[in-house]
Amino acid sequence: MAAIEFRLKNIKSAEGLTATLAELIGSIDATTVESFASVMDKLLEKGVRHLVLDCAGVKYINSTGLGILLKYVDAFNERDGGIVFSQVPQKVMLVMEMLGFNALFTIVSDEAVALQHFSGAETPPVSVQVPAPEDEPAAAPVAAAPATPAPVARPPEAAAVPAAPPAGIFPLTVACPRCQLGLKLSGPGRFKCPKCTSIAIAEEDGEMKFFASRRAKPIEVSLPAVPELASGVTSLVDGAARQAGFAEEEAGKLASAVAEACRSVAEHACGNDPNSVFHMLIVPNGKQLTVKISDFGTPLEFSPQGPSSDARFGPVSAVLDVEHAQNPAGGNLFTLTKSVE
Amino acid sequence: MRVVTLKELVRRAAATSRTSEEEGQKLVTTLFDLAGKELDQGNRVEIGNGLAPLSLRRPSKVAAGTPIDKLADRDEPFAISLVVPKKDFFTSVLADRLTGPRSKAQIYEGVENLMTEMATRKPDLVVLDSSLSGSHDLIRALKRGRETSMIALVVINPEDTDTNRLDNLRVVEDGALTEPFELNELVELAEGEIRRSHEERAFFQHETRFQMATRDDCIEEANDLAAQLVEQSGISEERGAALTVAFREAVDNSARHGNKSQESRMIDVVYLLDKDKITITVTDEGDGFDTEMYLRRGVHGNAVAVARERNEAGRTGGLGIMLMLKCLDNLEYNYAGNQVKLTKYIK
Repeated sequence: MAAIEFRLKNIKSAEGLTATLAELIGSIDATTVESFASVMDKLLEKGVRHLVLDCAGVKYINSTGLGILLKYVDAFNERDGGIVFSQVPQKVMLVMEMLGFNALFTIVSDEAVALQHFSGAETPPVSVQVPAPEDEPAAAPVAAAPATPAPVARPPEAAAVPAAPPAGIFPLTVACPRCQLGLKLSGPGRFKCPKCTSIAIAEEDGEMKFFASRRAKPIEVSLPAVPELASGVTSLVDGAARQAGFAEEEAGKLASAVAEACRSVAEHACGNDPNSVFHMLIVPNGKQLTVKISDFGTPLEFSPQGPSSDARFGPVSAVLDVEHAQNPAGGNLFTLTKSVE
Repeated sequence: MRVVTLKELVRRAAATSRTSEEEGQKLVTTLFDLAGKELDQGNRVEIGNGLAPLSLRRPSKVAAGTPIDKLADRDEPFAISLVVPKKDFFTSVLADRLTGPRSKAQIYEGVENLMTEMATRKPDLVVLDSSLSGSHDLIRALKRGRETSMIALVVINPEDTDTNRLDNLRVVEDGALTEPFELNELVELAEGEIRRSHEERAFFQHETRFQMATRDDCIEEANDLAAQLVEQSGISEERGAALTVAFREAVDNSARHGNKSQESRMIDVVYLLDKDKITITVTDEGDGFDTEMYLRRGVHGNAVAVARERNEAGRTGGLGIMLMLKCLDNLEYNYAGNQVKLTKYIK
């Protein structure tokens, strides 16, 4: 059973600066995050400004644990103090590096160096035997997703790239011919360029083929739950609808309906709380416009007939098909679709 | 130990082989001769507890697929280990039925005897009585080891076994029968498993399936087991560590978001190693989620920004898919969103 234990003591530098040393023993994940947060909150309440987290006893940390660490790093920084991580095990360092959090965290070898850091002395970098962060973005593997079909067998634009050296081919570093982004391919297979969504196919012998995506690029927007801002999506949706092939008048109606849906989400799910954020994904594709809205607010309930018979989304349903699902992470997922007739 | 009358045995032999009682008597006599068993024990015959009352009927049809005696690229007979509490008449009959032109069955009394034998000689199929002490340890040991995981494993469960019940982590066998069953069912299942295992060896080097209840200790055990499996694959320490990090995220997502932390719901894991890569499939019993949106956010999103946004909203999590994408060579969800496939190349 995962658990997290704190062993706290005060330490003092030669210059007289006092810090709190917390030896962590256990794991930081979804099952322990509450007890971890509880101790950290108490330290903040006590007015601790300088905290050294000794991670030698940390068995593992997962993404939830990493998120909560960032919360307290930010909280201590806001108090003109800070958190320094010492004796970070390789497995924990790996997780930090994978998501780039090591760039935000101060990681040192031991508590003496941590005290030097708090005293303002230059901190020697920690040496941990883990793979160096990739300086070039890895190409995203092509993931199966219901609305993301693989490219057609004979795409319009295909560019053959000279074969890489025969020995030690992978990982193979190539530049996407469409956007010039450097891609690091771990092995043969199909990959998607994270920048332009071109498909790259790497053969066993290192030969590369690129296929430019014919799909219109999706528009991703995150908005605070401020009703006035919802109208700002009108022009975006209007443009996307025209791109999908809708006539000017129809595109205008769709844009207004989507803006109305955003206002409803902001009001009913997020309570018009400006600190609450909802996300939109606008996909103009295949003579169809799809708009997905997700929030983490109050899960909304509808009658068996769905949002179409609901006063909050009735006007929107008159223009687009509206589907609602509970967001597994809390809140709501709305999918609004309209096909060109 | 159960007792039946010889007359009853002959009647059942005749009925199941669709012949006269005279023919049934001959069949029983032959089988008793094969087993070295005397018939003059009055008219009562003891049968073992370990296995179900057996049908003496020969299979009326050939099992689907290529019969094992016609499988190419194999000279020596397929070795079958029959692990039972005690060697008796019926286990001898069973061994006889499992022995053919291309297969040879051997009986082991107890799990320890098989384990000792396996140090020098590995069978192609193990038929295991699950009521035996140590049977679950044997299943786990067989399927956990890279050298033994491709040995086909058929388990015979006692009557009234609730195969749907799952209280902890269970390493899953390849095939199972629950007593009572017909002998030809076991023979056909055994031949099918030998054939499947023989064919899959051409593609896979290690295959393990396990299931667990949605409970923290089971999940922790699953993480440890997955780490042991990955460690045997030959993948580098760094790449293996990245895969186990992703596995931890996948199982955590299945438990918390898929199964809503309901202990009665199951998480199913299939680990596969081939010459190029490791593939781990994690399936939960939840309703799934909008994989497209989360994957897109995972690919394009900024982990630090997402974490701060969640923290400001008083929430945790939201980084799992991003972390998995960074750790893996391929991440794939099924349409429903309740199954995720993690792929990591060995090199």
